[in-house]
Amino acid sequence: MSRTAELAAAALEAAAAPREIAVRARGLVKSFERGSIVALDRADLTIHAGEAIAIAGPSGCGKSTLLNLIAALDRPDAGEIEVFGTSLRSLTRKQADLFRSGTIGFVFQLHNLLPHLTAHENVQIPMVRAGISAEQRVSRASMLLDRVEMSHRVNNLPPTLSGGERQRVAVARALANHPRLILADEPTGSLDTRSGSQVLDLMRQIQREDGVTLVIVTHDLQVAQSASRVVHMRDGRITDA
Amino acid sequence: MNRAPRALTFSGVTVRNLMRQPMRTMLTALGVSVGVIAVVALAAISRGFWDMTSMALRLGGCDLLVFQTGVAADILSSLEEKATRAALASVDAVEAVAGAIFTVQPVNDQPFMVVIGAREDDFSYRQLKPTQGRKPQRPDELMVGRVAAQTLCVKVGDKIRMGRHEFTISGMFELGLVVVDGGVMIDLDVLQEMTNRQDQITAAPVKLKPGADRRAAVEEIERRFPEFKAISEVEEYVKVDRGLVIMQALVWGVSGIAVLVGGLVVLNTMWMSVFERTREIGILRALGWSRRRVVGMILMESALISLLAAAMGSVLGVAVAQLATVMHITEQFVQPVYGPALFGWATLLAVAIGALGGVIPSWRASTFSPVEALRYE
Ligand SMILES: Nc1ncnc2c1ncn2[C@@H]1O[C@H](COP(=O)(O)OP(=O)(O)OP(=O)(O)O)[C@@H](O)[C@H]1O
Ligand SMILES: [Mg+2]
Repeated sequence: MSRTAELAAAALEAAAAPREIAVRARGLVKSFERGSIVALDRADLTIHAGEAIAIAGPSGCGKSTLLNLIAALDRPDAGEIEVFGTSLRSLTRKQADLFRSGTIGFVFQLHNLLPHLTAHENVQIPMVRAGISAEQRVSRASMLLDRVEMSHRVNNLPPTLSGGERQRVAVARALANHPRLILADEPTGSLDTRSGSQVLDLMRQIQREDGVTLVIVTHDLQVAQSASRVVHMRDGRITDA
Repeated sequence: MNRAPRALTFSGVTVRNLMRQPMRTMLTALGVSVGVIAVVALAAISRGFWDMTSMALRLGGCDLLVFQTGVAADILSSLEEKATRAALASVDAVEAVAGAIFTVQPVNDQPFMVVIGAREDDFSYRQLKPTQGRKPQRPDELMVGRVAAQTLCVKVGDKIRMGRHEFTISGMFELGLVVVDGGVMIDLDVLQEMTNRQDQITAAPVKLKPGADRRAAVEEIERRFPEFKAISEVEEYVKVDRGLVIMQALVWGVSGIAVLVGGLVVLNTMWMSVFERTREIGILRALGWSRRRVVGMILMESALISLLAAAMGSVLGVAVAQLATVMHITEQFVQPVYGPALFGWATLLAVAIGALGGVIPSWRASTFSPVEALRYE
């Protein structure tokens, strides 16, 4: 090995060594209906910053519940969860709202968009808050729709868009507030294979270009393969993390 | 070519939410506006009475009106004419005393018509200049007000019937005061005889000497003559007539009902609307909208419905009050008055209705757990 190559490899390793951790979950427990349904049963998971990870598992194994805890939409009954160094347990409700709007971008499976607002307006929704001017909102939404190749449909209402187009708008909306973590819950669940893989490719491309962390939840192993790492879930536990 | 996309604002979101179900929004606002219509029409008429009464108090250069103590309505007052004139003339500040009967009588086919009996040489009557014809000079002559002439469809020279008596219209007058212009004027002696009230009057208009203090004169008259109630300001009118108080109480009462009913209408609509949008509210929360903003959105929607109702109610309320006038229901008695205070009151009602109807649904929306809301299909 040449001297320069050796140095380059060392530098890469050094840069990569203390890889920042996006999500660290330890012993998460979450139950519903006064404990009769245990959705998460001591789940452990670590996700590194910039990673594209798929969480795969059968229906009802607790995938959405885990995602909701990561987004601070809900609190665990027990266990610890940190997102980019912030312990979510200690957050007040108000802090949780702020954390979510500043750090998380969400994409859901169905009925993702507000049906009475245009594609462009849907992308603006997360930006409707203090500190973002109207011009900034408009230009950023246009830019994001351009990025997901939807600039020809900005004034369309969701019911006039195809399923794949709607999900691309949802991806643009998830990016509105420069999130570091994108959570996608079955983003291709209602799409045919072709438009599904288009949406997945788009998310992967954005994840690589922007260096964001991407978490895709799916019960479809085919879809899971599009991620750089796949973890499996069963009965409320991560089986191979 | 695409329209340039526009900025989405918080108020824009709420307006768009309402525009989604335009029919429901309009019907809700219409339902709420019914109460506002009642309040606006009633308050305009009440205000009209108030203004008219205060103008009537100064008619013909009058400073005070003296009535009998302890009556429920001004037309029920009864004073002995000669004794009253003598008593009031003995008060230092008094320059002139007049005597008059205000009563309501059937005239032709009108069951209720204001009839005023006045004396030729009294100060209050001397000033009156007929707009057509002349003042009555014979016992079978009378003058009609402009509005009364319209209501009765009569003109100078025509004959009209009052009880068993027939009169010829010798002239027409207009004082710009509906209650007076909607009546007929007749010699006091004739009216006293006709109604069997010899030497009786309902009120004594009093003119004070230049520079005399009205309030002091009222106090002196009431102290020296306990049988008299003297009135110099419209606020004191309640001493002889509960009508204004009752009107005012009615406005309050109807306002209360309007708020309650309107509040329930808005509550019903917003409650349904919040439940229909459960999943959307979950999405908004997942996208970083705070509880407070969701609450604000629902409150603003109900506020907008209520303001729409206030606008509709104000317009329709004015229409109703005018219609009552045009259809000869109130025109002989009162001209409705629309001031900025009236529309301020309507807006205030709308705010109360919006708050009442919006608070509970918005609180309900804030208690939706975003997780549950997202599971909702
Ligand atoms: N809010 C809730 N109330 C009651 N039970 C719940 C609630 N949320 C989740 N559960 C239950 O917890 C378990 C895990 O649910 P979760 O939605 O996390 O599964 P999932 O892996 O996302 O399934 P799917 O692939 O069908 O979306 C299920 O049995 C579900 O019925
Ligand atoms: Mg799920």
